[in-house]
Amino acid sequence: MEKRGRVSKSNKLDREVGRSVFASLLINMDTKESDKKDLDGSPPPWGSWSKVYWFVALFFVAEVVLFYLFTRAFS
Amino acid sequence: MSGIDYIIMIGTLVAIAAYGMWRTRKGGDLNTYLKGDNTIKWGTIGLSVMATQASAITFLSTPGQAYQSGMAFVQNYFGMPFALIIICAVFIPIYRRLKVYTAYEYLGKRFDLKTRLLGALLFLLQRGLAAGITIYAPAIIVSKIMGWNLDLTIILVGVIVIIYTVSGGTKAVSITQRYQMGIILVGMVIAFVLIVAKLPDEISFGQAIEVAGKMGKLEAVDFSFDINKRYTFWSGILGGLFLSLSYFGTDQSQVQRYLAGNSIKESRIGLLFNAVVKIPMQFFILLVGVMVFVFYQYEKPPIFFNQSALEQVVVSERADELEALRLQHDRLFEEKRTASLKLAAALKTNEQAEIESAAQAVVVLDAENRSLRDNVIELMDQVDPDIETKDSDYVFITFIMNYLPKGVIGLLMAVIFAAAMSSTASELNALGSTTTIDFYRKLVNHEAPDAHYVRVSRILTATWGVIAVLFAFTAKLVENLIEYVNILGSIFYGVILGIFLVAFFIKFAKGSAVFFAAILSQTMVIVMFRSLDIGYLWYNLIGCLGTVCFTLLLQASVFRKREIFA
Repeated sequence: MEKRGRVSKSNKLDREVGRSVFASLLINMDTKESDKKDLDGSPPPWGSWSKVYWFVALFFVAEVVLFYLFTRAFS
Repeated sequence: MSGIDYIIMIGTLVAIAAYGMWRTRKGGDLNTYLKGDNTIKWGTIGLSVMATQASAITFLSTPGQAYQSGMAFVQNYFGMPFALIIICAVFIPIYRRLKVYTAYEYLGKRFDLKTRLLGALLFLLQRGLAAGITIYAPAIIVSKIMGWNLDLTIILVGVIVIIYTVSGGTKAVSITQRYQMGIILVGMVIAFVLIVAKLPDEISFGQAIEVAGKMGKLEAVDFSFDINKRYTFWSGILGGLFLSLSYFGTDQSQVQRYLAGNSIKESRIGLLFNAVVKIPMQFFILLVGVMVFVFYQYEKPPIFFNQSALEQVVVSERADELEALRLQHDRLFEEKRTASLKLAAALKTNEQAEIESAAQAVVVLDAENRSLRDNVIELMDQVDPDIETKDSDYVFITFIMNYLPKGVIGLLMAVIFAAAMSSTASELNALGSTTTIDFYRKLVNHEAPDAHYVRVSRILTATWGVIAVLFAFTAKLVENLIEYVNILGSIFYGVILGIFLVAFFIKFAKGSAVFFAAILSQTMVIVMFRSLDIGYLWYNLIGCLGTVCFTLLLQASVFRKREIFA
């Protein structure tokens, strides 16, 4: 049993890993600023990259729905 | 093939290559040669990424795949849009911020030299072999169908690609790919229109679709969790995500395409263009195959599409058995044709009972036909176990040669070779760049002027081109080579992706931990491959997870306190 107030090595590692992954995602992925403006200053289409990514994801969903309806209609 | 077909085919291929060379005739510094001086717009990047992925075998095999197994193959691409979003959000900003020429240069900046060289070496191993296959695979099929000399076909394709890739570098590759992709898309649309036009007068496009549907060829989406099925929605999303992340995010032949953009915006839109367009394009190519299938319900197909393989049975002592199977095939075809016409007529009158009974008859006859084909394959296997018993790659080209008009045949042959040349050019360009930047500049001579590196890059690109052609020559000596190279790719891809995922997402991981983890993981994959009998696609996932887990373990234990061998 671990004593209260002390952090085991494995727990510390878990926290490090968790923080690291989370921090790295925040650093590497678009931040609020880089979502609105690229490193080279050019503005993304439709004002922010997240809107573009959502468009691509929703377009995919629409494609799959259409393919599914197509499959159901002719099988 | 007629004279006009040869003129159209050779004229198209040479004109595109010459235009690419002319546009890049002024040369330039290393940045211009390896990154296309950052003037390339998103449209060119998008088509270039698409052309790199779509090799000739894509346009030969995919319609054949649909002919035999229907539309389910489209699910293989379902993970791709999400992988491309991740690459746009995570990978591209890092590559652009660090101004790297190659993806492996990033590994050097993030970890150390040995990890960078390991990543680059794994890429060179797998892509070096794949470049030879990209030339060999269409050359063997086309030379068999056309009766051309195989070695001459390989040399013709190889020499044209080497000349314009060496001459103009990345910009020449991107410019030529834009026009090659244009020709490919126009050619496929023309082929589709002509197939529909070649259907019997009483069969409209709508009825052709309904006939295909009744025969089970239009099942594009399958939500079942059956792991024994090769293509389902779930395997497409999961497997496709890992494969696409690895291919688009860490394979230099793709990374070099989108790093050529003049801004992050151009790179991202070019890549996202593929996320939107690729799946409908694959759907369309599969639909071409389905239309060829419907066409062959009313026009007699050969009993086996690879005629040169069948010839080996014809000249054997078991030719009589083949002849008996041919007679059965002819009888079955006539019955199936009559049933298919009945089905089309029933669909026109919309009588449900008649539709169901006609559809049932067609499905039963189709199953009998499949069983007959299995007998043919078994006979071929008994005559000579080395005969190629897979003929799906020959379905579309057989249709092109037998039923399309003069001129269009030449255009579609140009499509096949343009696809081969576009993917080979990207591969040679990436192999030359990686050898120059990650090995020569880093290990041999790191303080030379740009002009020197451009010259070295040209020599190395040409050398890789010659290696690819030589490999294509010897490829015919090895059976099932395409599958062999796919297996080889799966063995290395997972580990490379694992190294990059650790680099991007596990900040505390250092070079030595990931380097030894990658070697451990690669060894584990090779040992598993030699001792177990599991599907080779799983090695992508095993290699990737192995690298990530071993890195976490090593970093938390052996390399916790200090970084050695940095």
